[in-house]
Amino acid sequence: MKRLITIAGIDEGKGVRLVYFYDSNGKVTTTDTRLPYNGSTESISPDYPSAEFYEREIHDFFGITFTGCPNINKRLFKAEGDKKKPFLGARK
Amino acid sequence: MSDYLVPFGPQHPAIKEPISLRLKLSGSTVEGVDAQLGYIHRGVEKIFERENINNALYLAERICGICSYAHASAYTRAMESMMHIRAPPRVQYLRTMFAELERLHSHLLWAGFMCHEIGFETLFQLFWREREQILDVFERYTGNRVHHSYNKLGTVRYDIEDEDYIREQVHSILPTVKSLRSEIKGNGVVAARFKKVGPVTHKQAIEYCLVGPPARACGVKNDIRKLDPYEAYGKTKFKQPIYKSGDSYARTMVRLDEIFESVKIIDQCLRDMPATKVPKHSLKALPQGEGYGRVEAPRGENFHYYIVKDSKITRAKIRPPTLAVFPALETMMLGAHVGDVPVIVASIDPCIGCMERITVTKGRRTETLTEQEFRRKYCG
Repeated sequence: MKRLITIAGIDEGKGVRLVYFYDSNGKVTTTDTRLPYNGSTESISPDYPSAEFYEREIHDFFGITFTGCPNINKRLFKAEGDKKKPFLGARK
Repeated sequence: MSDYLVPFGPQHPAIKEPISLRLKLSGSTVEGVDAQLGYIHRGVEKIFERENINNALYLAERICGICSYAHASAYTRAMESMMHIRAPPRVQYLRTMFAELERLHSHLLWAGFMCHEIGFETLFQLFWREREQILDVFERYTGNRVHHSYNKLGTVRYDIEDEDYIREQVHSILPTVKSLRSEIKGNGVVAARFKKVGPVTHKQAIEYCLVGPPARACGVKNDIRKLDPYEAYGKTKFKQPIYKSGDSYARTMVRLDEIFESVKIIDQCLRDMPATKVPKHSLKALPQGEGYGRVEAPRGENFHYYIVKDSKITRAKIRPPTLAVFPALETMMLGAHVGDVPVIVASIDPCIGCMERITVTKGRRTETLTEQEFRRKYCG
């Protein structure tokens, strides 16, 4: 089984790109998914329990919802009630 | 149904950095944990955006105050892979040696804390006394004890002159570490506090994608220095200590054994390093596109991912080892006695600041800055 390294979110201007990084016998492999803003995708946490934290982080910062991710609406990094998505939009 | 919900943190005497764990207790047995991060989140990944690739190296190093060199190394590896360059052999050996010196000081620091958590203050002081020998080496060759600013893209900032000094300093810690290791191994009180405390099985370690010493304590061989060798690790011989029990004791022994392996690597670096000159910093190509770099930090795999456009970073993603180990914390704590929680937390060697904080130290002044102040003062 491949080992999940992390999930990165990238604001591409037209939507959010998710890059999944895996380690497969010492080689890093990636999988890309492109989603609209505030879009949703299937959670990989049933297969990789550690994905829950990465998915909650992306939910906090990019507003993407992961269906099937436990505690997706529980805040992880942000303060209670903070609705801002700090990684969306170009830096001024 | 739990009897109590006990807050452990964000400020707690047993943890050195702010983190909130809500412990669900049945009597004094932990039945669940709810973790809340973000108390020292400073938005490091956001500060990286629009940053020049040379300035960003110093920012990467300041992600952590213990394994600062691991972050600088991961950054350097990511950028050099995008530029399709490799540092000359002497530079590779120097970087390998400094990475191992950092592992020594980090493990000694952690070993002290681990003993402190069970009230064994003598061992705490003795481990920290030995750590000073390693910090002296850093101070002598880089001018700094923690933030060394040693790497440059394609090279390093300083060469070393007195190799015997490093050898002496590194070997001077071994007799004490050997004796302290035997003390931990043979002491019944330590065994009672560490053995069968916070266990993780081999299967759970694979499921949770654990990294570093917590994974190796469960029999998972995942040392990035072996799996995906970088710098001079492919040319050095060392063992990755493996234990099976997966408890706090196994995590302790893995790190203590790694101290001896690190000394072996440093010896090989000093012996095999070619006597050439360290090249001056000059970039013939600029990184462009996307790239990642990963290194085996003292706490496990440290992963950096960058997107660069016109020599400026447009996106940075950093996954420090603590974030990879944290999801398994609840598994480690289930069924544990509430009094063992500090030991379990310390046994993963957490570095909360790795993902969350920036503190700038200049001269004798330490200042904590907002993102805008940091950019205005140091990135202009």
